[in-house]
Amino acid sequence: MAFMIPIIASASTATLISTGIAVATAYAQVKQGEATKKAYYSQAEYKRLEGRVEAVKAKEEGIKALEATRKALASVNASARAGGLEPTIGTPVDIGTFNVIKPGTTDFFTARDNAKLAISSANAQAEDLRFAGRQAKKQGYISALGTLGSSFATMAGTGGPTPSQPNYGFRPSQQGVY
Amino acid sequence: MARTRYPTLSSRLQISNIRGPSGIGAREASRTSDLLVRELNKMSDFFSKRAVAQAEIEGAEFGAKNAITEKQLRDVSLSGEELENQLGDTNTVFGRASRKAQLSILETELELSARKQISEIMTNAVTNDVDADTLSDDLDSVTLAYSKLAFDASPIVAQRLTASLNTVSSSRYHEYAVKKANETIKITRAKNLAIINNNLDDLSTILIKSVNEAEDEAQIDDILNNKIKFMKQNYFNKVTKFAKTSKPINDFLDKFDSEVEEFKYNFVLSNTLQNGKQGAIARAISTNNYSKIDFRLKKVIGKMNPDQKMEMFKKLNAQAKEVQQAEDQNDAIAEASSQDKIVDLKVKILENLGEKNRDIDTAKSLLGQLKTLDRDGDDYLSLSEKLIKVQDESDPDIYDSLKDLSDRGILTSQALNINADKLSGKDLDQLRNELKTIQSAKMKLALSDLTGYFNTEFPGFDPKIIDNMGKKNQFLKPLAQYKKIKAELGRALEEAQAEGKDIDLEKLTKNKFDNFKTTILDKVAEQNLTRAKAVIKKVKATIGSAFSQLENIAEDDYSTMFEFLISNKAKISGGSNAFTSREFDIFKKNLKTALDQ
Repeated sequence: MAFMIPIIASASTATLISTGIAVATAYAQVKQGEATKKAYYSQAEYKRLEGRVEAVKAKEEGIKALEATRKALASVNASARAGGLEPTIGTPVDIGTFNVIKPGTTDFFTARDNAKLAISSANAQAEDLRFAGRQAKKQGYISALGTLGSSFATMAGTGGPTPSQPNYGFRPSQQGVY
Repeated sequence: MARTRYPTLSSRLQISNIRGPSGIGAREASRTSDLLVRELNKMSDFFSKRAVAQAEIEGAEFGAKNAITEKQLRDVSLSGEELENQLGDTNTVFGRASRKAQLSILETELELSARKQISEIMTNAVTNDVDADTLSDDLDSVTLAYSKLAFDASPIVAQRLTASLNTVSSSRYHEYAVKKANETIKITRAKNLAIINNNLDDLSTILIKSVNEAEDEAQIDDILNNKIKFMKQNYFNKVTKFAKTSKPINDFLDKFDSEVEEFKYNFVLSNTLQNGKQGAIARAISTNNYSKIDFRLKKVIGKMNPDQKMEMFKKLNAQAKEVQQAEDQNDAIAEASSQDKIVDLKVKILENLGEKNRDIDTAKSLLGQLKTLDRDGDDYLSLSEKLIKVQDESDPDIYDSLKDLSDRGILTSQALNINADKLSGKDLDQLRNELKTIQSAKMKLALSDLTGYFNTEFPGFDPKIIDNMGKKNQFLKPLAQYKKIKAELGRALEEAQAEGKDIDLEKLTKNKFDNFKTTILDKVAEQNLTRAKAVIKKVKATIGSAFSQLENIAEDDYSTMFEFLISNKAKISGGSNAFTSREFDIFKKNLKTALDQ
């Protein structure tokens, strides 16, 4: 930044004020980017939590399916006994196996898959939001750099007396001449 | 899915809907890219603008440094294509800036040059009183010439320059035309006024001449009655050309009448002044009896009214008095001027006889003039005696200065000759004797110098050679030369004294010794060459048969013989060889001496 010293030294008051405001703007843009990033990260965390809730719900459904299977199997056994059939052999077993246990377990696994999917989906969405947050922060920095670059370039382009030029202790702008 | 008869299992679980990422990240990334591109574009744009501005500045500077000059255009030193190339490419910022700067400079240069020419034309016009049409043509030719020059570089510049020069030219032309018109009007009016005044001035002369030439009284009546009326009419016609209102016309006519009245007085007074008859005319006027005076005077006086006659009478008396006074004054002036002149002459004669500004010839001439003016001759006699006395004396200042020169030993014949006429014979003889004494003393000093020269060694001086030469030629002996130069100096001194000229014995002695020295040195050089030639001859004769290269050495080729001796020293000198070592050294020395001179 040493190259800026002679430029700043020769700049007028108005130019210095303008450049100071530009620095403040750049700082605000950086802060805005960081805030946006935080917002996105918060949303990501919420999404992740939401996914976990969904997964818990899915797990509960799986448990319910197992409970329903157990009840249905008990009903099949009870019905078989009441009808004078041996529940552990023959038809009752087939009914219990194919009409109760198999769909019940299938539901349980479906519920488990749903829980995993909910977590994966939430994680993906959360990662998307975090990515968006990082991009927002990057935008803040780019905007800030753009603002600062434009401002310093304008200040350098505005110019002033060089050290080799005679300095009479005042600038025209300080005499109200622009 | 298989159906079941158990209600608890009638509703089956489904795979829940999968909600993928919303794509907000991609959108933000896209926005980031857009932002980056935008910022980079801004920067690029900024630097592009700076580059354009820089190119404009550089182009303008380049154009300013390499501007086309008026001389290049005049000399047609650039072709159309070269001109276009120098002006710059119109497709680039640099080229356009360069072209703009060059054309601007060229326009300024052409305009300044044209304005200078216009100023010169205007100066010339004012100085030489050039007419307006010629001036207009000259100005147009300058404008046209510069427009054509500018057109070669740029039609736009040509148009601008033409407009500018036309404005300047027309402004200058307008000023000049107005000034010229005013001058013409003034000149015309001045001429008319001059003619009127001239006529008025001539009126009296014409009338006097006419009256004098008249043969009888009838002619004079005709002049005084009709001719004056006719002249007044002509005069009126000329006055109306100059004056446009009644007042100045009446003023001019009054002047004419006054001039006619004045003519009458002038005629009478001029006649009386010439013939001196103021008294007779005055008596005639007072007695009103004009029988004894000239008929012209009688008629002119007869035309006067009583008041004018009274005035005429007074003027005649005044003229008579003035004539008498003038005669008295002339006598007094002649007397006074004669006395003044005598006093002046006496003062001048005394000045010329004085010690400070003595000039006897002028005093004699002035004395001659005094003789004619001095009636009693007292002044002339006293001054003549003084002149005779002064002629026998030397001018004391001159004598003192010459005596001073003599005492210091620097008196010259020239100083004595120049002032001889201001010295008495006695003083002159005394100073001449002193001059001789001075010259004799200088002669002794010159001989002492000569002895010193002969006893001083000079470059190239070799006593042995001098002695040898003295033996061969008695004339070259130093003592003989000393006597010869001494005799020559003595003769030169006698001649100078006889002719009254100055002589610089010191310089003459030096010159004569230098001549002797040159002669001696020439002789020495000649003898050295003779010796070297003898060496070559002897060497060739003695060992020529043994050394074939000696045949090619010429009799004056000292350097080659010298080199031969050095390179063959062992073969030709010492021992049983042809030459002894001493001979060899003498040969070498003689050749070296010849080579060195």
